[in-house]
Amino acid sequence: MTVRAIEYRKGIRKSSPIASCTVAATSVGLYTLPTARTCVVRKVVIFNNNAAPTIVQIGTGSTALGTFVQQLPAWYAVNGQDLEITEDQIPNVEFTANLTVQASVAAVAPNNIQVQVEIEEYQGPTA
Amino acid sequence: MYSYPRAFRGGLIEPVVEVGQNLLLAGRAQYALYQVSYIEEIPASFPFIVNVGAIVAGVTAPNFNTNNILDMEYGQLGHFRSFVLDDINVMILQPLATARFGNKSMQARVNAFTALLDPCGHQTEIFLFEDDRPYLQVTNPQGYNLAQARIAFYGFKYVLGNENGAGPTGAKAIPIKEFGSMAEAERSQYKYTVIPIGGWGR
Repeated sequence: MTVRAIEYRKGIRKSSPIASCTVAATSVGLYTLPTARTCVVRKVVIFNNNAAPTIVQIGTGSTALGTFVQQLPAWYAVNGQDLEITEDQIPNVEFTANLTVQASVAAVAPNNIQVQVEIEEYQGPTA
Repeated sequence: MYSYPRAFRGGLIEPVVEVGQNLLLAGRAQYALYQVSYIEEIPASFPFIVNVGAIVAGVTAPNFNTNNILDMEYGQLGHFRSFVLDDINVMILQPLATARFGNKSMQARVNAFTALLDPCGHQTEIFLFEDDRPYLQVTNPQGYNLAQARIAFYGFKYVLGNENGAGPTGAKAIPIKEFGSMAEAERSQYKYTVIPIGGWGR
């Protein structure tokens, strides 16, 4: 039986563009939040084009700037396989900054790691 | 005065009166009493979707005139609710210099979140007497450009008349009676449903 948490508020569902991790352990932008809005990740889809397994981390900030903060547990993506994680398995972490993603193993296409998320976005106090 | 149905009623949209009943259109300082001669539905569909067009990230588009989509004939009243199809913030101006849905400090918007707490859209309800059209001030709140900015309208059309029926198509409706205040209207003993028409807000 699936046990679902009952959210006390409602947001709007949106999808990110497909992020492409091409450098190992280096974050790239995943989803840009409109000003003053927040969001919760509801679905994650990963495809590992690389020849080796990789660990994918979603967070905020930039690895290059030393500001990357992992916000969700990492996922293990087998080489040549896709991985879908739905909201039952995703903690209800509220993002207040733009989402970024990094993969422990990655290379330029066609050996990149593709990541896309579906998020539930909440309204903020400004337009 | 009818207590039910009325304007801004929660739940799925319905006409605010039956054919043959009276509407009291409440303006800023004038009240005009009409009898409804005919009612027609305007279902939510593409001809009544206003597309303000592409809006660059974070930008507010120039005020959009809805005249080609929402204008009513003379002698008619439009009754509309709305919802957005894109993630935009829509401020409804009716008339152009007056923002609807406001208080002393703020003007509320119709946006993607409105329908979450108001699924029936009754808080987006507006009335258009003849060509007292709304203008839309639409903002793209995202960090990326939008190719289109759409807001859909749906509701009812009321053909207005008096004891002698509706006038010919395109003719101004002649009210049964006009009043200078609600108190005067109440003293008249007519039965009616009050409809606040746009432009009253200050």
